[in-house]
Amino acid sequence: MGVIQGTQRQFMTGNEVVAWAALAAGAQAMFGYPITPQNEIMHYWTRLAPEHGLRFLQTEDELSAGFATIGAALAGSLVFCATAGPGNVLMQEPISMAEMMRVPAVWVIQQRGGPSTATVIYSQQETRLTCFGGNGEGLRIVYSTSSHQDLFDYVIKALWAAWEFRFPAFVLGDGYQAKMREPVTLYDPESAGVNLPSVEPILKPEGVPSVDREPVHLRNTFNIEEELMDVLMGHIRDYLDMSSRVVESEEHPCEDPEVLVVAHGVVWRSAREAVSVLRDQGIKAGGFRPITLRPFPEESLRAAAEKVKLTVVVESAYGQLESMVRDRLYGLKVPVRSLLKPGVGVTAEEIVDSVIQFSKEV
Amino acid sequence: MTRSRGNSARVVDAFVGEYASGKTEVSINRALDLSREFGTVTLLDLDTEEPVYTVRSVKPVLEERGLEVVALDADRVFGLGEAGVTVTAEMLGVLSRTGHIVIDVGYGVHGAAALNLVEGIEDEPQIRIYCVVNARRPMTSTPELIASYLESLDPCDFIVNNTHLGNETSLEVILDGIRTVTRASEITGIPVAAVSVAASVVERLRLAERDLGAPLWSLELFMVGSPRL
Repeated sequence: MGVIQGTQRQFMTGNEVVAWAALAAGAQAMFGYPITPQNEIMHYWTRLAPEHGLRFLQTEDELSAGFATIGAALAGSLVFCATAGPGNVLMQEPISMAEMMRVPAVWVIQQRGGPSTATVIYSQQETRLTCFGGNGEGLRIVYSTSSHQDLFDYVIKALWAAWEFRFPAFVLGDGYQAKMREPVTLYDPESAGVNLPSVEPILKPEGVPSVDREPVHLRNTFNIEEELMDVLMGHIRDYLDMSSRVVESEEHPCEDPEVLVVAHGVVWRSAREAVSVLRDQGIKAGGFRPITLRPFPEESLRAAAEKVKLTVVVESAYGQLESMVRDRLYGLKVPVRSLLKPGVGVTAEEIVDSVIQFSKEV
Repeated sequence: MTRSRGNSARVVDAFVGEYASGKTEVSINRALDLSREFGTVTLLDLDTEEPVYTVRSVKPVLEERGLEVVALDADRVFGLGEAGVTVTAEMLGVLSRTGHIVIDVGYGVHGAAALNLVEGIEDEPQIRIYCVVNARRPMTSTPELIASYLESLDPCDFIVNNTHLGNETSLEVILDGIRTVTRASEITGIPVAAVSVAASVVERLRLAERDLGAPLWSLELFMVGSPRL
């Protein structure tokens, strides 16, 4: 049973791709609250709903949307939610619960300018928030997409990963990706051999409690500090065990690179182009793109950075990716510089100019 | 495209359609074409939903090209996209202007209803409503889906076939699109006014030499590149 017959190349906007991907993965329900620039995810999900028997509820705010999402997951529904900006800030409360109780649900984040209401369009300023924004340890899976094809592929993968590993999973996009138009291949994941989520009721599984199975007792609250630590260390062990299976990155390598340009999300498009331009100009540049920001691809980043004389981090935020990179490169001697443009797009030309400038300085 | 408009020479063309179907590109080009032939043309941005891909984002460029553009100035509006887009008296009273008028109406079923806000639109004898369709978008990818979409709108006079796949547009995409949209036209009885194609594609595929079953509108693209507010 595939809602998508064969493979179809279509001209779409990013938000629509998200709705179609969730549908293709077998998602059954979405909860949400309007906020630009993710509204079309809801619009398209509700347009697809009647034909495919999908559920949707617009709640009174993002707190409620997040908790409704958790409730649906506990009932055994393949469910997702979407938000942006200040909505993402509100979502941290339910997301923290999802971390504590290991609830498998997916949040699609279309970053907009911050902090607070700021701009409705674009930034990479929710990177830290999406990775670590709750009052916990950030036990989350976060995929940062840079194309519509990524949005399609990783919404499906996030839904699978959430249920496979039982951590809240995120697709971190942005307003440019949400609104941009480009061709994308929609495909049926099952026919393509892609892992599909395997879903079951969490709160009321089969069998009689205490007769056929242990009673389900989901807790997000503990009375004794040591008990909390025990529970958390269990989650953390699971998280570390899972990391090698989940972590992903991409490189635009060259032989004997001297400079490494690091970027994620839509900025990677400009970074990759900049690396090609730099090479044409005789500068041996390589590019590194973390695809999972949580867990962070520390090993492959260190391996790439060890070889170079300069690392340049590029982002549409003021150091959110840079601080992750610096943390992971700690101990390596390579200088790290950055091109930081909070809330504003970064062009390939700007990256090229920065790299040339930094190369002269170090 | 020649058609009779009775004694009045004024053109009032409104473009509606599915989200990202190409309404804005087609509206802008229609306005520029008319201005080359006929002089004063007013282009009205009546998109009350979209914060990015709109006429207002390229207003200065279009004014340089001689169009009168009625649209909000992005830097003079607070909270665009959150508080909703303001509709000004200038926008609502556009029909009181002399000269030709082209209206880019917002997306989807609810956006199209914004046209009803324009004062006097229900009595305007020259109004022609075009539904822009890209048959390479999932919700309008088959004749039946297109017909069903057209039926969900207030009655349209024409279809503009804007089928494309961005920079992957091939001859097959164009010809397939023509087949699909023509069939939708047969189902609904709404004629196809034109096949609109990006100028670079017209050149690459030598479309001007072909019979596409409807007039060819060659489009200069204004919405490409990084999104701008």
